[in-house]
Amino acid sequence: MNTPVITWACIIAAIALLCAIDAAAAAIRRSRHHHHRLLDSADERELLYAPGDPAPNHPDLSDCYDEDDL
Amino acid sequence: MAQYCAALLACGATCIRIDRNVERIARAYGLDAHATIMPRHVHLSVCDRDGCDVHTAIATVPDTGISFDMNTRLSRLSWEVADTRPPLDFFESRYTAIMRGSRRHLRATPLLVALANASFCRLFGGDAGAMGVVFAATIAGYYVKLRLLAAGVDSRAVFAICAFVSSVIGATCSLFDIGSRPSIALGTSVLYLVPGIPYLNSFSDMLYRRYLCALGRFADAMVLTCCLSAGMCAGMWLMGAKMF
Repeated sequence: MNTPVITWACIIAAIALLCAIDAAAAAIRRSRHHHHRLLDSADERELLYAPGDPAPNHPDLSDCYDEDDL
Repeated sequence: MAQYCAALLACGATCIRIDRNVERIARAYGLDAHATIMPRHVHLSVCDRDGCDVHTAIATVPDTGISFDMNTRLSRLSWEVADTRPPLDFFESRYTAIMRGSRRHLRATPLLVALANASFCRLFGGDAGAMGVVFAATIAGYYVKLRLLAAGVDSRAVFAICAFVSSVIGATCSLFDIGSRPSIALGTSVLYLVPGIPYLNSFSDMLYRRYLCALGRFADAMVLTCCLSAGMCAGMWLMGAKMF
């Protein structure tokens, strides 16, 4: 077992991991400060919107849902 | 005032500088001040010119690390107080602002330290390969040092860990046959950790007969040097490097 090479590789990997964690933490702090999240959730209406689509609570959409959902 | 003294001591000021700054500030407010400087605490007695009203305060020396920038700003504050004689609230607010705004230019420091250490490597006869390895070892070690100190790890453990990291990376030359002077790279990779300022301050305090503080600083520096040596020896042993 080549101890020096393994030790050297472990140290390099640990420092690289520390840098990655630091960079990720800094990015998350920046996104929180600017109210822009790296990860977020949305429904399909926000993703696939076309001008002219009715609003979510529009009466025309009542036929699209089951009675139980209302 | 006691906290001001403790902050000056923490950032690496000598006892004579602390004495003069405190006397200057006290004289500006028409008072006399006498500081008893211990390695971990500062006792400050302030009295009026008649000596009738005496107040004593004790402050613990914070573990902020040496900073010439903060040292300069705190000293400049004492001159500002002596020249303009502002209200005490001004002194307090400026002191608080200096303590909050300390550690400026933090991003450039690792790069400059690495360049300085690589220059040391060249001074001791290292070639370009050794200089490059020392540069990388210093940057990595200094980065680890900053992160560990920010996490509140004891400075002695920080010195041992950083010396280990730097010596392992410094052994890259011997591991991969880079350059012709691998031992120079290994030896100079930990130079940035040597506590030169505490040794110098200890000597300065001894010259001004502050023996207690001088011995305290010297002991502190010796402990840090031993931790540095332990980390370096561990790194050399694992990397199979032979220095002698």
